[in-house]
Amino acid sequence: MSTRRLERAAASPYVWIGSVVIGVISIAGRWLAFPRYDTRTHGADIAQAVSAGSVLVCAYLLARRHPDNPMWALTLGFGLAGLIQDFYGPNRLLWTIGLAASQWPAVFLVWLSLAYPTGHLRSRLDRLLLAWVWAVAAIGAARMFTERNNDPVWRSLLAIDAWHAKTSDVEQAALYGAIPAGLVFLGRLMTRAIAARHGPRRVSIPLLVAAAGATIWFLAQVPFVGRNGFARAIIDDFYWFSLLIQASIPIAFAIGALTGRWSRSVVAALMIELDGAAPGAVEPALARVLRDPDLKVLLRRPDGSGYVRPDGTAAAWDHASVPASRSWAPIGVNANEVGVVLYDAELDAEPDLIRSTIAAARFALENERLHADLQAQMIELRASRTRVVEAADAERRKIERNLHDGVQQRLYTVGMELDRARHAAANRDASDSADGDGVSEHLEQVDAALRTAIEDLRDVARGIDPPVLINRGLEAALRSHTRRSPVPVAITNALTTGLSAPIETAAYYVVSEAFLNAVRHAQASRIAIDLRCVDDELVVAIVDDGVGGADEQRGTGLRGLRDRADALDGTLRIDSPLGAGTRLDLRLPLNAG
Amino acid sequence: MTRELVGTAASPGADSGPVRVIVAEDDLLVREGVIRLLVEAGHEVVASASDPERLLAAVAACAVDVCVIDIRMPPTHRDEGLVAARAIREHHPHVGVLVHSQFIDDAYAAELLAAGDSSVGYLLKDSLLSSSELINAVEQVASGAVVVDRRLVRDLLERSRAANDPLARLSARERDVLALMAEGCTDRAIADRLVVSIKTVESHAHAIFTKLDLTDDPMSNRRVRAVLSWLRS
Repeated sequence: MSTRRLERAAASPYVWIGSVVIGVISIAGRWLAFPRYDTRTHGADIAQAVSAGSVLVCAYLLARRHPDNPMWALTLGFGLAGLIQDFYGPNRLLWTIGLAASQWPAVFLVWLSLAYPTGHLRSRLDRLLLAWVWAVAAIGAARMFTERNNDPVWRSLLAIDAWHAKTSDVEQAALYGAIPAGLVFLGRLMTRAIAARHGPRRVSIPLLVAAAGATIWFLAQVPFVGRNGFARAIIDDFYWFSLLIQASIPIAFAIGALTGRWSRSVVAALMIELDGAAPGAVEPALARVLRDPDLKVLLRRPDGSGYVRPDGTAAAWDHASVPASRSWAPIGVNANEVGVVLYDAELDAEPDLIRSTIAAARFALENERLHADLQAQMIELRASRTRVVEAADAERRKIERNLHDGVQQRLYTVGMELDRARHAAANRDASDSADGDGVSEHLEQVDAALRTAIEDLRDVARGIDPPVLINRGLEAALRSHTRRSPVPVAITNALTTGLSAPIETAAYYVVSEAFLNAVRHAQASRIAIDLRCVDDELVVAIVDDGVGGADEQRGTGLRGLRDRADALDGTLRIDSPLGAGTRLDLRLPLNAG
Repeated sequence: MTRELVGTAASPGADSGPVRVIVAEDDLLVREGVIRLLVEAGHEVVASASDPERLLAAVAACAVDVCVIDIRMPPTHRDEGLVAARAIREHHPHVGVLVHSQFIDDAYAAELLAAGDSSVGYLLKDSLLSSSELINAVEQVASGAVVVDRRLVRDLLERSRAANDPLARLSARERDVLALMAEGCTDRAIADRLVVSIKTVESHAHAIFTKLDLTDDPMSNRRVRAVLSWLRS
């Protein structure tokens, strides 16, 4: 049934007037059928009237508060089934209907218990179980055709005389069919009870206990079935139990009403907890007060571009993808929507609790949203900076490749040709000394120029992207880089192994830039480079004893280094007092890049 | 020092016969150039390869003395040639390897020379610019020598001046002798190059071994150890 039809039905007076009429017919019918007072029958009737009445009142209250939740309709169905299966006459039509509906209360009991609290069945197993129980009820309804009594009033309208003997067969078939259903149902109740154990789902406990009790009682009778018409006795016993179950529903609601007061104290506790709380505190506070450790807050980006977690990390959110065991509620409405809260669907039994806690947390969540958005922007910024650095590094690698494997190789082939030419010219000069036109000398000069060109090219390519960094790691690359230093360099290395490539590249450029500064500008007489891994961080210190006074604002070198550090979520500290040397401290988290 | 492993071969250029060579180089023009250079010098190029896989297949298939290998080869153009050279030294100990590189790197050189104390060479690719340099290196590796590019040797000597390292203890003359040892020269060749008597070279060599704490090594691989200790410093 669609939600709108459900809501319309909840508001319709006919539904409720009709229900009351059925109740009156049922109870009045019994009084008329047994006009002579006897304690057993009439005591049961009174209990029945009170119980059925309170179930109907519960259904009515539920429909008023949550007309969109099918629970009210199921509760109403349970109450009416109890009344209808009790139709005793003296009308033959009513008696026949009562026979047909004799198993309905059990069906609705199963349905109600499985669908609680959302009103919807969650799994295929639940749907199969309900279908099975309906099938058993249909077999039981066959009593309409077999029930015959000498008294014409107690005779089913549809009775077929020849089938009368089958009455007990029908009852037994229904009973045996009910056994597996009862066992599965009990299993489901137990798993539900275990799941509800640590949560706020106290309301469901009485219902679960009552349903489980009835089922166990029913199953306990099974070994005696078939002896001395025991089946009948079971039905009589079950009748009393159904009254108990009916009565437990108002009790469950009474507890619900009490927990309403509990929810107010939850809100008060939440308000106190959120007063002056740090960013990111709202989600754990909500999880704590609602006793749902898996509760999640997703905040909507102010520019409407999606949702983020309170720490700013991106979160995909689509209400269609929320699993049946989870539920969600918006924070704020429509254009003012701040985000959504995802919580255990069991909490839907107390919608007011959810609504009031979210309302109480809303102001804090708005702050949280701004903070989260800021965080998200920082994450995006860092990601884009990382991408820029990575793209630049990739480009450098490509240029280095082209220089080494393209241009330099061509120069070598030119050089080999030149070598042959030199030999040829030298031989000719030797054999024909008169013709000393100086070709050999020219070729020697070309050779020298070519060697210089190759040398220069090698230096350029090495500066762009040192192959040894990729092939042999940070320490080897730094040793190679500082090998020809005019200033003594001491490298101490306490690295473990396996730095990621982006970290090695960043560290390499920071150290080599600092090293060049120390050599070129700082007039240092010694340089110390220290590499170590401390607490999941690569810590690099470059210290010289030069003139100091390095200024990040002048020149792009140092600023470029800071960009590299930032792109990997690291830090760079430059300490360069005038006349007292320069110290660079680079820290890069090892899990970055 | 008559039983040295390094330098027992004849001096450069006076080899007994043609060396059988495999050339591994991914650049076609450079490869053809190297092949022509070797053939013109009277050596035999039994195969050529453009990647490490074909190189290793060729080594397994041909009778060969020396492989001339470019350090940068497909697929990644990093150090495939070096890896292949070490594999050849390990699985075919009778085959010498001469690795050349477009840039000097003592880390590479040290790794390569750690693979064995004989028939190994590490040259800067600039040696292609004068045919005699490459030919000499090929012939020396074929004769079992360890050859290190003189530019790398020169770099190491310069560095040793600045840093606190055992090489700083060597005299200028001893450095010259060590540099020539690293190039694979025999005592006789060193004596010729430095225009001194072979006795003088022997005494310098002895001083070098003492200063580098190599006195307790068996005579046969002292020279190699001297070069290696240099590279590893």
